[in-house]
Amino acid sequence: MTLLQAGMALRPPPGLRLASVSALLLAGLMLFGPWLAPYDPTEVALDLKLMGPSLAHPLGTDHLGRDVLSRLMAGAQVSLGAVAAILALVLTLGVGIGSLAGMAGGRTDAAIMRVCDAFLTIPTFILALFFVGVLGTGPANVVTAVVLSHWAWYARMARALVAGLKRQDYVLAARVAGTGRLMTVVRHILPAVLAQMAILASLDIGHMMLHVSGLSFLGLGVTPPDPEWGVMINDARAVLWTQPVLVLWPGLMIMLTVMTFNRLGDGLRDALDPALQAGGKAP
Amino acid sequence: MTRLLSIEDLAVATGSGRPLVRGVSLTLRAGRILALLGESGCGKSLSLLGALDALPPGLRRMGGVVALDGRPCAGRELRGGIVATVLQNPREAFNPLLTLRAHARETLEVRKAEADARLASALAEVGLDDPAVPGLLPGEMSGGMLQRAMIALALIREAPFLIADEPTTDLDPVARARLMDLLAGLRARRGLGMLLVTHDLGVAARLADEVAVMQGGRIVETAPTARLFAAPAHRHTRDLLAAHAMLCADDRPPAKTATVGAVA
Repeated sequence: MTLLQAGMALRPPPGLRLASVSALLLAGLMLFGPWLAPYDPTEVALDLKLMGPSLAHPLGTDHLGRDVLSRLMAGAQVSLGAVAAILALVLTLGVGIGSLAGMAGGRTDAAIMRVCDAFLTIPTFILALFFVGVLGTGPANVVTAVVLSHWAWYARMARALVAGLKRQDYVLAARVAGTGRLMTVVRHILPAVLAQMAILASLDIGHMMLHVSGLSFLGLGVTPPDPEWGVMINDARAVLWTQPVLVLWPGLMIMLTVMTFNRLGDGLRDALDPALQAGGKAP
Repeated sequence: MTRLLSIEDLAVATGSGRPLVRGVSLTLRAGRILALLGESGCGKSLSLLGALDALPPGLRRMGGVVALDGRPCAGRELRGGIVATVLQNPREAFNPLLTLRAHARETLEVRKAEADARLASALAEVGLDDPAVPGLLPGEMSGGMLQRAMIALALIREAPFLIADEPTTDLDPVARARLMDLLAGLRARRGLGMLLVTHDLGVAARLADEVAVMQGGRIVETAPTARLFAAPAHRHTRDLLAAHAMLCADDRPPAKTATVGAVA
């Protein structure tokens, strides 16, 4: 309800409205892309290779004569789906572990945080490469690798938020009113943590997207001939000098996604910032 | 049914063992008001949070027994149902994202309609009978309204005891007088046993049957109100009374800030 109120009070600026529309389109592509695609994205037709845009193939064909538009649409499912899976897992893992550390305090907290520190010392992309190396290639392993290289950022953030929130007077008020420990966490601590984490996550989507595409580009994620935006860029690299637009299309899609979610993250931050709510105090 | 809540020899210390409160003993009786007086930081709030086992993170209760009619009780059994608590600083004591109604439903754990009905009657009792009030967010209420709303929330579980921590501190003189009337009325109507934690001597003098004076984490004097004000036995009590008398000498109404400044 508060989100809705904040949303209504805010009057989204045009940039935010545009980002919302584009996010909806991307979500639609992710869910229905493969069925909306005009051609089979893996169908090879060598006699049609590297064609420019035409009515039959609005974005042309790639080096194996596959329809680029169809591959872009079908690829959305893997590229965006992987990011959605990563987000869900990272949030669950990060908020769960971070909240545990923040609530427990003392030695449990210290132990969990030192593990986080170990993960945080290594750049995320290198860490993800390491995990793919250990786990093997493939989309599921790429998702796992990116989750394992990112959860510690979220855990640290959630822990800091929980450690601050549990000292709030209203948490004490709930306790002295007889509310149980678990209910206090669920009702008074987690909602505030999740609001902040949602902002962090939406700003991070672009980053994760680049990770997945980057790993696929290196040949570690989705394997050809399955369509994925990173794979498409990699495929197009060979013909970069003769058909540069083939790199452009998946690149534009990645850029669009990154920009969309960055803008949404900014908007969400403005909308959820409790300082903007009537007289409310930032948690 | 005489209800008696006694706190015996309570002690609170930091995690490293530095004592903050020692040997605090207080007795609350149904229908009686006990005031706990003392300057800021002397351990008043910690004593009551310690008795309820609701100390802030990092502090520990080092001993002491809290008993209800002679039977020792854990803080968990007391919180909410037996002892209602009104925290100091009402502005911070509500979750800024939840309406008053949502707070009441959480506190009561009964069906929503019944919770709403009981909230409405409790709000009427504290003088907030505008039907819009339950739907307000804490940020939409004034300090005085929040203070009364918090008392209403404390009342809805019909606990026999009420602990109010600095209930008048942030209020202007009119709201303060009204709140004192409210507390006196509650005692008369509901027969509540109350512990008023305060550094406001006026509140203690007007409402309390008995006053305990605290200094440096210990109770230094406990006496019936009239005797304490007429013939304070402990030096610290005399100092508190002298500081108050000095401020009130120039015939002004005892302004809130002046009282705080003198005693703190």
